Amino acid sequence: MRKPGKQKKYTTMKKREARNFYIYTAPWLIGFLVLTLYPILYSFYLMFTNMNLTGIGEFVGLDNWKYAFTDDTLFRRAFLNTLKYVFMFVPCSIILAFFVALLLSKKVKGLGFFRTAFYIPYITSGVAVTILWGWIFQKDFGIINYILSLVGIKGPNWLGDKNVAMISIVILSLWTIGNNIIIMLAGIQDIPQSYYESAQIDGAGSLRQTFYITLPLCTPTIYFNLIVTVIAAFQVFQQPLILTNGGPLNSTYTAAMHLYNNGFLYGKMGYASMMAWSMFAVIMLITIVVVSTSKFWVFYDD
Amino acid sequence: MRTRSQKKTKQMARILTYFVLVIAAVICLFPFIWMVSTSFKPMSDIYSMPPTLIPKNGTIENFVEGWKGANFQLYFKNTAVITFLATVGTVLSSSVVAYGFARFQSRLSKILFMVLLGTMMLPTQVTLIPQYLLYYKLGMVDTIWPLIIPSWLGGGAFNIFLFIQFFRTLPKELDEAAKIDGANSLQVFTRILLPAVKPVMLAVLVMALVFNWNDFFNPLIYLNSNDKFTIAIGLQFFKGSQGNVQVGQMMSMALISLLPVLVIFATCQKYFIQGIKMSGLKG
Amino acid sequence: MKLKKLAAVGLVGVMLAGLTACGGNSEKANAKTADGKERKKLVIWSWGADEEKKSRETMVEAFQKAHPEIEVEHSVIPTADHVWDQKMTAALSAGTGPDVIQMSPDYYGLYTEYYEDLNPYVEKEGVDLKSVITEGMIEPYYRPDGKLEAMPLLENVFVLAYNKDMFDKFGVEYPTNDWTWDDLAENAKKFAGGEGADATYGIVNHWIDAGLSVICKGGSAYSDDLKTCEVNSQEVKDGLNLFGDLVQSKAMPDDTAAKSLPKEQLFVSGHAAMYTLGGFETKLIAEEVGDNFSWDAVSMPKVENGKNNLMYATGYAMLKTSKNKDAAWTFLKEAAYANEDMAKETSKIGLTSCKNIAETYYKDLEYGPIKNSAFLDGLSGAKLNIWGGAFSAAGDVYTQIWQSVTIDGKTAEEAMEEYYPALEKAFNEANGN
Repeated sequence: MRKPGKQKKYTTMKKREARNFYIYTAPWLIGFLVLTLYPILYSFYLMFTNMNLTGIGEFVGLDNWKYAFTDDTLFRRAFLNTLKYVFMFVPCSIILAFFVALLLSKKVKGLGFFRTAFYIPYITSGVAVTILWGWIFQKDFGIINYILSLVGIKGPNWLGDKNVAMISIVILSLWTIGNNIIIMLAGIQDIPQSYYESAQIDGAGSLRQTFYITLPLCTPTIYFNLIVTVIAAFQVFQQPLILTNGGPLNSTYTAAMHLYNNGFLYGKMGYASMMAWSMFAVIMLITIVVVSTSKFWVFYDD
Repeated sequence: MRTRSQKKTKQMARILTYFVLVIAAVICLFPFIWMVSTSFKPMSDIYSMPPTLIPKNGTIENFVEGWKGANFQLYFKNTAVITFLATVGTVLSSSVVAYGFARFQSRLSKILFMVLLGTMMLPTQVTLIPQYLLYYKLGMVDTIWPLIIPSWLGGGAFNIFLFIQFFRTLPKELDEAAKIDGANSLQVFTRILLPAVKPVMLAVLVMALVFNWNDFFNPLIYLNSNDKFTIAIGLQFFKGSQGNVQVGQMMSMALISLLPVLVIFATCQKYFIQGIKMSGLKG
Repeated sequence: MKLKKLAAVGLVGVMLAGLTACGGNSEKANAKTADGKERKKLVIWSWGADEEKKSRETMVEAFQKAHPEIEVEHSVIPTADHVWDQKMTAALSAGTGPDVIQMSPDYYGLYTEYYEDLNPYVEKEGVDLKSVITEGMIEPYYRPDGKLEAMPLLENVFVLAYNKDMFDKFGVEYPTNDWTWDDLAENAKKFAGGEGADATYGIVNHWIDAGLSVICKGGSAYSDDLKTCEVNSQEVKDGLNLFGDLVQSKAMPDDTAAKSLPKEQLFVSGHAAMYTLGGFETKLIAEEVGDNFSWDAVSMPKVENGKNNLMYATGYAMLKTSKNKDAAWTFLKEAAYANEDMAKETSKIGLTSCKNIAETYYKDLEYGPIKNSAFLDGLSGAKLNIWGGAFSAAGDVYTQIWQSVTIDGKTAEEAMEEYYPALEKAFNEANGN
């Protein structure tokens, strides 16, 4: 198969590089081959069966897909809701994270306090604080509407109104983007100080420095954040489960919830696998779009 | 004149920065503060109307009862062991693997990178059962190994990807220069690249720490014995099957459980600042 | 240079080997006691949180005390937000479950393949279950094909609790045991009023309401043999409309979908006059109400020719994979009826299936003004939770109907027309049709 090497030195270098590649990626490769590959292939196979909880099932071809696109109205609903969530949450989270990280990278007093403050929501994100949020959003007695009522505004029924509930879920999710902020901050701090110094000599103001130095040099980080946030946002599950259980009227019912309900509550493992792989396909598609546009807006040093 | 107006705008910008930061900090801290306040309230005051920030009948009963409610002392120990082992593993293995992806190529490296990304995109619930079976066959169900091994084997695609992204921003000339000086590939990694991405290492460390400390799903699935449970599972013991919640006790235990992480973060964030200085030298 | 690389690879290898080798799980079915006798090991999984967890633990401790020859390994696993189902699904489908596992008859056969048929054990025991088990509590555990898939532990039904002070303040006469649902609706509306923090309601919205809407006008969800769906009836529509009317008239809060406040808070804080109180939470609610207001309870409103209450039941099943089936059966029978100490521990959080204890010890317990005998009385009119287990897909469609009526203000007829086909389909699927 391999073409006879014309430049022997070149190929040995290549060989050595390939060997290095496998040596350093070995931990992940081993983990992938031993622990991840088989479950993935198995779930791929399950997609074409009507496997139930007891492990009994037969090959049904594309029936699961047919059912999803014809009879299962919730399938489409769940995906549309998820897309709605992704399109609301991802841009807001990227912009917000960049903005906050930018402010944090300035030489402000009490920097440690602010950093900790912005990261606290991420640390506290768990069952306990989600329960607290349920109350914060409560329509009659919740804190948000109480504060609004002090200034004479009647707040919405945050979790009970089908037009507002998803926005409430997005707000709760935006509250926990401490992780994105940290990564953004690391990205901004990786920009060599000398760039700013030379810009200052050239007389560029801080706004111009932001747009001509920080933003472009931060694009690899933004790119990273964009991809992982899209991937994670598509699998949103815990917040709607705990706050609304997908309601009211399925307005917060997400794809991951549909997968979960089918697999663990209705015992339809085959259908749940189909659901997982269709989520995979959509996420992959969006990621490919992002990756293919990246060469137009992501700048690396080399 | 010009310098004066410049100074003025600079001052305005400063005030604006603080204003925005303070508002944002209040929003971020509010539920946390409310959590603190709730953990000191008796049940009858927790949902009082109108809401009160300072508990009227302050009590520490929630802490006493909550601590007794489940075996939290043991849960703390268990969680600390798992978190320590998993966090160390994540930082070490994800940086090594990322170095391989970012600096070396083979015929499969592009495909493998896509596979790496792909593993993030398939919802974990669907591979749960076959994976569980695998660990069972390895004799690892009801041990902490299923919670730690993945950390030592790459530590998750997210962290690897994060390191790759930062290694790529470093010019390759750095490696070349070191190689000319006689460094091998491992030395390039440990002496040149790792020191240059210290802020990222800290970020990964903190994120892995928080993730493992709060992880509920994996311990729930893989641990069976009550004396091996973790804090995240313990907190669920305040939420009954019929919808009743011991809110005060839950908040007090959640508060205690996040203190160690908070302390570690507050200490670590100082080194983020040091990160800036090092980057400055590097350029 | 090469050496170092080799060392690096070696290090990774050693690390891996160390990790996997240490994972060895010394799982033995039996362990030996100090005097050399073989102790049979029995692994039990229960669910529960808070009081429920404590009760399970003390109950199993009582069992251990009575049976030193069995080495019990008991795990209590939290259950809220379906977390139990995830763990259970993984363990059961991998064939690695415990010997004895808690279950609920309202799974309607969802996991039945994994459970041992208990009929032979009962036969061998030679016991007439009806004479030792609280009335009506063993029946739900028989599958339509006759299989006995588990033994009961406890169950809970509801009473209608009311705030006397609020009734006095609004000049409404106290509820009686003869109330119908129409009486309830009519009186609940008298409490509607106020805005924001001053809002008052007639009755708390509760997760049980959707189930009650099926039966409150004499309707039924499906036939007794679980084969025919009967939701699309005038009685069920009337029930739905009754609740729709309660919400529209603001006698009941309209955030029926939100899990924002613990549901009992509206009642204990004096913002809602009535509350459907479950037997599992009497102690908790009595503590929370304390001396804040005076209150009492009556039985659930009457339904002509039909069940007027819903029951939540739970028991223990033996897994087919169990290695110690005799010990497992000993536990099942003692948890169900044959050990009064265990039944007393169970009584703390529900109506025990041990007939003797239910009719004496349990009956006499009181929390605040609520006497446990009220729950014993409510049992005869109670129907098993409708939309559990195999029917949860159909139940989720019913939730849509329910929310269309209570949140969207649609009539039951409109909602039924829109969603019934999907519900019927999900129902038939659960039946394997």
